[in-house]
Amino acid sequence: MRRLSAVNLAVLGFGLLFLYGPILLVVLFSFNASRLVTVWAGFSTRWYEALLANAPLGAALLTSLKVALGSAALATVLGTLAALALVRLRRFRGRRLFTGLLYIPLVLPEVVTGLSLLLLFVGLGIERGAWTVTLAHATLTLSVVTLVVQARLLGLDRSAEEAAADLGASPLQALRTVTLPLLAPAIGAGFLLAFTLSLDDLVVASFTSGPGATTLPMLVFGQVRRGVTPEINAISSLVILTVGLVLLASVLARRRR
Amino acid sequence: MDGLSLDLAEGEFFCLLGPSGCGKSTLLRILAGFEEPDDGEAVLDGASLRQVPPHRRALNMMFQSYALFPHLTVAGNVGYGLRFGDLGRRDRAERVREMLRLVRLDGLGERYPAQLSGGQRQRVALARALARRPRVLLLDEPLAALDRTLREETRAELKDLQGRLGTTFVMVTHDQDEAMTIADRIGIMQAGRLVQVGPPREVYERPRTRFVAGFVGDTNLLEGVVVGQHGGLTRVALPSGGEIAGASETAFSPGAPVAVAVRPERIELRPLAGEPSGLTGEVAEVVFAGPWLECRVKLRGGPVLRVTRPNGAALVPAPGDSVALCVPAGAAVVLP
Repeated sequence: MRRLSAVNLAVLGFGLLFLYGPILLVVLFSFNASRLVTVWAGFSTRWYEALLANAPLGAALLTSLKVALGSAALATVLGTLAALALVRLRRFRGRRLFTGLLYIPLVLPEVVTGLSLLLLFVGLGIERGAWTVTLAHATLTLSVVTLVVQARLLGLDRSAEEAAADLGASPLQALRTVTLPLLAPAIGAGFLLAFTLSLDDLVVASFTSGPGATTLPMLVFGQVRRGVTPEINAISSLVILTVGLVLLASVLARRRR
Repeated sequence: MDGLSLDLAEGEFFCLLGPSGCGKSTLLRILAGFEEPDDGEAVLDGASLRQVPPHRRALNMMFQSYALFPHLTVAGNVGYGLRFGDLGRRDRAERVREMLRLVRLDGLGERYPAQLSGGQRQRVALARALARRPRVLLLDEPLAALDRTLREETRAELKDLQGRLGTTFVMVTHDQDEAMTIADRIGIMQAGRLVQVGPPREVYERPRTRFVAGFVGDTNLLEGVVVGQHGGLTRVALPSGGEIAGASETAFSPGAPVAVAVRPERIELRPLAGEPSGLTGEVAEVVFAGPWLECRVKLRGGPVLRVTRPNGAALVPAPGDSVALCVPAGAAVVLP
């Protein structure tokens, strides 16, 4: 393919506009001087300044980051172990069942997951807060990490691990010195995915959170119900920037390999 | 795999040779400990290896794919097995240097496997497998991934290295030239069985089955019927007329159907003079194959024999010539 025809270019342009137009609009209006969201009144950073003074917002951001880091770490450890068990252990009873069960959290509506976890926490008499959200998010993202690591593990040449064993490494030493380093890119990717999924989640967090533990999406959603303010645009822009940077970092990290 | 028994001598270069899927790699993997035999066991220095996991066996393996660790440097790869021994840091570094010198990779210790050529990677794999000074080195098709010239060079180096180290080498290969030139003894495998074990010359000159005769080197197999046996030679009558006398280890009763195996280079051709007697035929084709000429001789009333003559030999027949074939006593083998 040497040149794009006019039709191809138009389709491509329309597709990109459809995907990224709304996002660009949010970023654009976050720099709007006017209080009215849809009327452009000149460039200004006043909404970003307003963010700095917004205490509840800062608290929500901190909660979201804590929950995302905690749940991603938990999901990464458990997900990697699950992938190792499903791929590397000798065939055990129920292996296919467990592999199938991995997909359920992905296809189950979040409302159902959220509700069931809420019932669980209430039933067990557990006081809800940031850490119940963390647990909920970990269960949600565990399967994503497992699938990512499992895919890499299946593509990994078994003979590297056999070579390690042959050279005197016990199974645990082989895991630490050969398998895990070779899996590192997938484990990292799984962690980043889990992190962004947690950061992004509104539904499950709303069900499982308690008083005083409002995540950023919950706060934004609550405010939007009272009308979209340019401040929300500013928050959204910052989130887009953060996610963009994380993405860039992961791409760069992969290219260096 | 079935009814397989094999004794390795200290310091020998042993080759397991067989077509793909004959179980030679599986046998190697059983020795390394990656697979457990349903029955039977491997014994090293008088101690059974049954239930001994791979990392506790005093033998190392060089993998066909090399299985280098991509996240470690060359030095890291070679020194990997030393981490689990009782060598100190300085001794380990010294051993790694020694191993790299041994495979002529000095100065490449800081490179990563991805930065090396195929031949260099092969050497790293060899150095890594030898670094722990194993009692036995297992090599799974170590030369298969190299191109032809490099393979022949490396073959000689491998043999030389084995001689200097005195380590027992067990190599799996499907390349009979490789096995023939490198091994002290060859074991021919077929469908999970060891069908013949012996020095290359013996396996080549005295194959014990039709499979071995056909698999190791080129051969002519002629069906015939036993006429009689005496003095270690068995006389066989061919359906096309004529007789061949060949060596045989088994006793045959007259009339038994057998096959006579003769190597193409051992058959002599003479211009036919006078009445045809003995083995005679007509040259159908002469093909130039570089170092030698290959003649296809159609026997009277039947099979076509392949006869080779060195390039430049006197008396090379032309297509259409009638020739008498002469098989010297001891050049043919009679097989059941």
